[in-house]
Formats: sequence, C-alpha cells, structure tokens
Amino acid sequence: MTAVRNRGGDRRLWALIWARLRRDPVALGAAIVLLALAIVVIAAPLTAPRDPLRQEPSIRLSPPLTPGYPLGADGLGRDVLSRLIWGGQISLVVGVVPVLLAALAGVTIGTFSGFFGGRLDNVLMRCLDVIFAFPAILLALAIVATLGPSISNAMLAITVVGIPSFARLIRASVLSLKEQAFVDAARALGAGSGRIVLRHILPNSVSTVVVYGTLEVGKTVVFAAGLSFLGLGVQPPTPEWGAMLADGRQVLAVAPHVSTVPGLLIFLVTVGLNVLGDALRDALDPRLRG
Amino acid sequence: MRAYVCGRLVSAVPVLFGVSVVIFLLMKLIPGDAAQVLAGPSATREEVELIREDLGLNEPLYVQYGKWLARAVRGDLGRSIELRAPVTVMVLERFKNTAILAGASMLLAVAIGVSAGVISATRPLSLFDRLAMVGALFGNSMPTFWLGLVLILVFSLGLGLFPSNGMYDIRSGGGPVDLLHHLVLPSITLAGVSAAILARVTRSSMLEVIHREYVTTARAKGLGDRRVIWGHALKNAMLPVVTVMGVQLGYLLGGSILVETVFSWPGLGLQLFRAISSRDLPLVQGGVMLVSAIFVFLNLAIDVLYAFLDPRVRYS
Repeated sequence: MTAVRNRGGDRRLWALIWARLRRDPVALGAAIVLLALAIVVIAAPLTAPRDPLRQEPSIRLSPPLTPGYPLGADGLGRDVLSRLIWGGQISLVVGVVPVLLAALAGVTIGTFSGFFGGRLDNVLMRCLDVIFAFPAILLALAIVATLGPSISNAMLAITVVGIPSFARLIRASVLSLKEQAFVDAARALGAGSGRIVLRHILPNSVSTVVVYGTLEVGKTVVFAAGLSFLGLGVQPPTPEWGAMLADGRQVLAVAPHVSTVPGLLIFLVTVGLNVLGDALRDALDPRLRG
Repeated sequence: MRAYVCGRLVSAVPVLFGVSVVIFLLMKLIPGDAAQVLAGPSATREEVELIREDLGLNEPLYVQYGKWLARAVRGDLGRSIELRAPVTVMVLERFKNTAILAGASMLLAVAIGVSAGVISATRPLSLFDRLAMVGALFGNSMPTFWLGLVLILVFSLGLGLFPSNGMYDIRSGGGPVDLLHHLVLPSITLAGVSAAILARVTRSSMLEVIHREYVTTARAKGLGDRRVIWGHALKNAMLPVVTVMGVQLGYLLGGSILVETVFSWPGLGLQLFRAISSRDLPLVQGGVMLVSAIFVFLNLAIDVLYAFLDPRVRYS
C-alpha cells in the first residue's frame, strides 16, 4: 500500500514540476535548451562535425564563421565547435556526478544524524562544521594539489566540499518530519527505524534534494570549470569547457573567440540551470526561497 | 554579550583543531613516497632524505601531527620546498595584497548589491526590479575567470582604459592612485557574484520588513520615504544581509585565487596557484591553513555582529 502511495507521490511531484514549467515560459525555455544541449553533447559522435583532437596548422586561430569551422579554430588548429560538443560530455559528467555523489553521501549522513540524534548527530555535525570551515574552492584545491591533477581527483574534491550542505539540509528536514503524526502512526503499526526512514521520511524529503541539487549542478559546472582553468581538472589534450577557456588566455588579444565562446557556453548553461532550479524551488519547496 | 562572545570563541577552538587535522592529513594522502613526490623526479637521494627529515616523515603519524601543530601554533608553518623560505612570512606577505583585493570587492559588492536590493524591493515588479534581478541571475551564473577575461578584452586590450595585470606600474613607482587604477578590473570581477547574491537577499529581506507595522508607523508620523526605507526598514532588513556578507567575504578570500590568476594580482591566491603547479605542498598547506583560520574568525565576527544587531540571538 505504501508503495502505491509513493508512486502516487512521484506522479504528484512530476505533475507539480510540469504545472510550474507550463506557467513559466522562461523556465520552460531553459529546460528545453538544456535538454537539447544535453542531447547534442551525448550524441557527440554524430553531432560533432570533426575530430576534436585533429590539428590543422593551416587554419590556426581562424575566426568564427570560417567555412567548415562555424566557431573557428584554436591555437593548434582544432575545431572549436567539435571540442565544445565533445568537451560538453566531460563538463556534463563533472557537473552532475559529484552532485549525485554528494547528495547520496549527504542524504545518508543527514538522515542518520537527524533521525538517530544524540551523540552520533553531534559527532557528524561537528565533522561537517570542519569541512564548512574551509572556503570550498581552497579545500578542493588542496585535495587536488595533494592527490595530483586529474578529472577523477577534481570530481572527488567537488564531491567532498558538496556533502555538508546536503547533509545539513536533509538533517533539518528529517528533524521536522520525524515529529509528524504519520511517523508516529507508522511506528504504532510496528514499522522499524529502517522502514520509517526509507518508506516515510526520505520520500518526503526528495523535493528538497531535487531543488537544491539542480541549483548545485549549475554551481558545480562553474566550480569544475574553475579547477580545469587552473590546470587541476581535465588534462590536455582532452577537451573540456574550463580547460578550453584557459587555453584561449594565451591568444586572447589575437583570437578572443578561443576563450570567450567556451566561457559563454558555461555561462548560458549555468543561467539555464539556475532558472530551472528557481522554478523547481518555487514549485516544490518555497521555504528554500532566498 | 561578553558571555556570548566568550562562548563563541570557545566553540571556534574545536573547529580550528579539526581544520588543522584535515590539512595535516591531506599531506598524508600524497600517493607513494611523499618525500620523493615533493622533491620531484630529478631530486638526488640526499635531497629526498633532507625533505623526509625536514617534514619528520619517519616518525609515527600522531608525533608528526603533534610537532606540526606545536610549530603551527607558534606561527611556524614550515619552509617552502621551492624557495626554501619560511611559509608564514611568504603567506602573510602575500595575504596583504589579497586582503586589499577582497576588501575592495566587498565594498563594491555591498554598494551595488544592497542598493539594488533596496531599490528593487521598494518598486517590486518595476522595470528596475526586473532588470536588477536578471542582472543578479547573470552575476550569480557568471564564471568569474571568464568575466575577468571579457573585462580585459574590452577595457584593457580594446579601450586601453585599465591595466590587465599586476598591482602597480613599475614605471610610475606605485602610489594609491596607481593601485586604485590596477584594482578596478579585478575588484569588479571578484565582486560580481557577491553583489548578485547580496542584491537577492537584500530584496527578499526588505520585502519582508517593508509592510511591518513599525514601517507604517514611521510613515504615519510623517517621515519621508527615503528616511523610512533607508533609516528604519533597511536597519532591520540587514540581519540576514550581514550573515550573507560574512559568508561572501570568506568566498572572496577563497575565490580570489581565480581572479588573481587571471589578473596576475600578486596575492595569496596567485602564490597558491604557483605552489600547486610546482607541488610546493608546505606552501599550499600554510596558505590554506591561514585562509581557513581567517574564515573561521570571520564567521565568528559575523555571529558576534549578528548578536549585537539582534539581542534575541544572545539568549536563544
């Protein structure tokens, strides 16, 4: 019966999101653009016109709208459009995977902390206070500097700095939900702690995680691009938006498109994710409104 | 109030202790032989042993941490591997320049963000409000390093109005005017995100207080609109804004690494970037420790300021 109720809850969640998007043309537009971009990027072998690593010295630093090179070529004569499309795969993964991992770890810690309380709660929250005591970018830098620059280490660093926010958010939600009458009712019917958490508390916290997670993906895309910009994320010659932007710095005066175009794309994706996140927040969890 | 400040000071001690443990343990995550990694692939056996000795890597972990902490408390954060100079001196010297950049950016962010937020809240859904909120969305979504490059492209390479790198022009011999001239582009770049966040928070906080009874009373007493908004409403709306300002100041200190790299600003961020590139980990460790300690004390200062502004906080 609970499972049936939860499926109904999921349907209500999507119905709420769809109703909100239909009323908000800007958010709907952002969702469509992001979806289209994701499809183009995922289908890179079909959509990218050229090999992103192939160098053509004769067309080095060609400006946008050069025949065959709609967004021009970079300093090594590689097609900027193809590199953006292939690089989008990495930027997408680096933007989404650390948020999912941080959400998973944060939700687990926050749920344990909030539900069981007591000494466990105290210890876990003090540990998170310590991670919070670091400016996020500095902790991420220190982690990547120690482990060595690579995309997996950058993702690990971004995950670690993302965990405390999710944990605190879910802890607050669990603290309020566990006092609700439906939890008492489940307990009176003989449900154990595991069942109460998995079947009753977590499904009611999903919207909070979805809203916060969407807003976090936008931040993470910029954060990861920042690490790559500093040479700590994706390593050459692999294309990635932040690394492409950094490559273009050397030729900013003669070929500004090499760094401005990837930057513009990062900016547009982040704007889209923030608009979508704001709309989801208004639909699902107006309490989070800033 | 004194009891509250003492309580908050005491609560900062375990956090600082935790920060020191994390930073120390990070060094232990170096894959392989840490001394060999730090010395570099071309180092001789003697140089590797020297680093091992210097960092006490032969001793048990808790002894290493105890010695490191005892030295750190006395202000000794070790020596830079590359430059062989004391990390504390190097870090403090550069931090001054980062503080100048972060301070200027904070002033700019508060001036733009709070003003835009107040004006938006007093004219909700007006053209100004809509433009300001779109600006805030853009500011919040803008990668700072990209904004920096665009500003360099337009105002430095294009119009030639402002310098694109450094803190002083060696030809002019420095001076406050030269410093301000060099500060313009990096401080605008760094202030962008904070101004956007402050504008949104100020707007939403002002919208909450603007219809309260004391604001109506102030109006009924015949006070002018400007006095009511800036003198009465803003004062009470500032509480959440002050909290966000504290968080943002920490962000400005940390985020300066990207901006300093773009503008070659000779601050701690650029020093950390170079230290990371050359794997000078004691310098990275020292820089992160200093900024994190300042971040903890900044949050503490904001909590105290919050309690000063709203006495209820002290008793909760």
